Amino acid sequence: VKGRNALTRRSFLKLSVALGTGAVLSSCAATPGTQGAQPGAVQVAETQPGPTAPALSEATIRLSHFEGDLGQRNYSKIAELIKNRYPQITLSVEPTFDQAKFLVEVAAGTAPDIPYVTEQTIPVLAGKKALLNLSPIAEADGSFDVTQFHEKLVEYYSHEGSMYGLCRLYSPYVLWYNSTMFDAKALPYPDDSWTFDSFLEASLKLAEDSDGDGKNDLWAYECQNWHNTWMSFVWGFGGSLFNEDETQFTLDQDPAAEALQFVADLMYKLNVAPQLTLQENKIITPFGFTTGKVAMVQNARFVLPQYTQITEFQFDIAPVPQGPAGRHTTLPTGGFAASASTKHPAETWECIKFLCGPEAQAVYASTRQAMPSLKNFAAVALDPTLPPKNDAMFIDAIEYAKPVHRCPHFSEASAPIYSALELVWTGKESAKEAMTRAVPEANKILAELIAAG
Amino acid sequence: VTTTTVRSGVPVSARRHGRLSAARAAEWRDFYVCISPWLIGFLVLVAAPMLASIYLSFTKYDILQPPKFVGLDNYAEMLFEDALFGKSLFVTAYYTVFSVPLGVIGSLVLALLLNQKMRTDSLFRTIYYLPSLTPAVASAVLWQWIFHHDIGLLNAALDAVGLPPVRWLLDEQWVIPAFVIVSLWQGVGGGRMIIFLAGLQGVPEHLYEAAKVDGANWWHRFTAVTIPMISPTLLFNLIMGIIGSFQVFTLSFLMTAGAPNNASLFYVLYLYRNAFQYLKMGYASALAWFLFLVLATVTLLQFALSGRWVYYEGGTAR
Repeated sequence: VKGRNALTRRSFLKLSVALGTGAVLSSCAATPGTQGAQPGAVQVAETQPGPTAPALSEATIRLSHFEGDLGQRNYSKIAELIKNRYPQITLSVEPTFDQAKFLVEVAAGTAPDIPYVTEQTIPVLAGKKALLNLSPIAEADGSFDVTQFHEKLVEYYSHEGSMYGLCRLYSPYVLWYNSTMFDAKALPYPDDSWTFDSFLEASLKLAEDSDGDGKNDLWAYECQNWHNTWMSFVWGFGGSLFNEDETQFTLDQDPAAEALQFVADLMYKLNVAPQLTLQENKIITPFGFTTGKVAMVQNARFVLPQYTQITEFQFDIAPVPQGPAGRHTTLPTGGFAASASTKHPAETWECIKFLCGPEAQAVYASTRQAMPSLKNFAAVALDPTLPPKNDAMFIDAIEYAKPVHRCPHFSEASAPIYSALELVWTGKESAKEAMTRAVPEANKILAELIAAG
Repeated sequence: VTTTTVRSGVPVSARRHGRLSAARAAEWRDFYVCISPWLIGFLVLVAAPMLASIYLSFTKYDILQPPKFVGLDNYAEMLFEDALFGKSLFVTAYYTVFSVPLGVIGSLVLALLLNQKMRTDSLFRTIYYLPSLTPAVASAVLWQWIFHHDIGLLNAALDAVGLPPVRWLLDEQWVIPAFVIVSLWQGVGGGRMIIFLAGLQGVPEHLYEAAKVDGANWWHRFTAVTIPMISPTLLFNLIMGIIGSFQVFTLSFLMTAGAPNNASLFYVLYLYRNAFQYLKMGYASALAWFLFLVLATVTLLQFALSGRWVYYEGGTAR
């Protein structure tokens, strides 16, 4: 007795013809990349399982991220695309990633197969052996070409010479500016000729007490208690967060302390930036860029979905200003790795490849989140019909951008520094005093952590 | 059945007879079956983790690698090397010294007021009880706005009386007083007030009448009748208040996360940081056991001293 779902000879032939036609069509499809693609028109080449890829089994692969609703929508769409491509794989998307939780789950053997990782979490998680070394799988996969990713991004997702993840997007910090405020003061827009002096000069003209109540209500710059913004000043002044091999903090040295003081003075001496306040346990600005009261802010492209909603003023981007030691900016990234406890390494790898491949990148690009990590795909993610006009600058900025750090002990060792910086950002202590006090303490903790392995 | 006294889980009467009757045995079996969910829950979810944490406090343990026995290292580091341990202990003690006495006195005063026979007393009881029902997250958000140095209500009130603004949550000197204010808002009218109210309503009226006949004014009646009669509730609220204030976590986690410069680094927040941010489970266990010892000592001390001031009608303190 044939079951209702049994494959008949006729349906088998139909399926074979369909698969054969699909294979021919897909072999005629464009190779991954953007040759001939028009900017703004996202053309998608398909991620192909390689000829040497192992046979895939039925598996549910769990992906855990912390990107909220937007991430959940994107990954759910990608899960459908994966299901279409690999019917045997179901990608289950969980918006609950937390690093400590993930480590506990790895120890318990219940970790999601694919954790969301960044350039900063790779050394922490790989160092704790919580991630699967992907190099052997990637090398055995004839269809995988690592050179399609920007070299820097491949390096950031490696640990001790092995690949532990794939980067899906990146976004250097740039200077976002409210062009309406610049126009109101008839000031030229920031551009790549800007130095810290030009920044300061414009800032003094932009800040204003427009209602005459004795307090400024229009501001030049949004200071943030967030190293991705102030590190461009630290590097620009010739300072650094760490020494070369990240075994000692160096924020107590003069150029770094001067840079931190430069930022604090914008709030407490020059009065061109709103003073930071404490909200939801974070020290943040009371007036953000989106209020239209602040002319400039440093941020990554991650904020673009939010900034796209702005209708009250025009905005654009420029490179961060350059200091005496040149132009530097930070480079946050995001990507995927495989949990060391995954029971489906082959299927997990296919999913990771897909999540960083062109079809998934098209999904990310449609929400204008950040720049795709595929070298040849970056230009297609830009839409010249939408602000910011200088969107392509994100592609150029990767050349001089770098991660703030890749120190696996950063979280614990840097605690005294960040506590001391709270006093700097609230105008209670000078940067030099605070760092002179905190850095030796942080270095002591760092030395102990390095010694303990 | 001749007695209900039970020792070692076996009725005396049954031991006396040398064997359990079938009905008694069935009764005891049912008893253990009925309490088994709680018993298993206690053993698995409370007792076993507590015992495990004693062992872990003598190890270095980051969850992924097996625990490594280090003897008393964690305790030595805590007591002699870790400046933040001392700071977090000080912050918590400083908060306790102000929030507990003020809270207990405030609750007592409120309970005394609500103990008056008024037609609106139920309404006021509800109003005063409401803050304790507000979820911690909502309280945190509310109070952050009240404490906001530019647009906060509190600074507006200070400004109205000609006083300079205070950077409540951003100032090392003011952040703990700010937390004490929140604790009073949350705690004065909460469960503590209800317990006092219950205690006050249990004071026999004839004692007040006898005192009045003896010429006692309201203050004498309060100190010579009310306080002794509600002293067991006072002791209870004091003990629970101290334990609760040493365990403050949620509000500090939500409002300041220890800022500025660890001036609001409460002890349990520091314990949480070590356990779940730095994954130093061994060290965090040592911190937890130190807290347990502190609280046990303080509580035992309170019990020991209670014999001097707590009055139990028809009995002694112990």
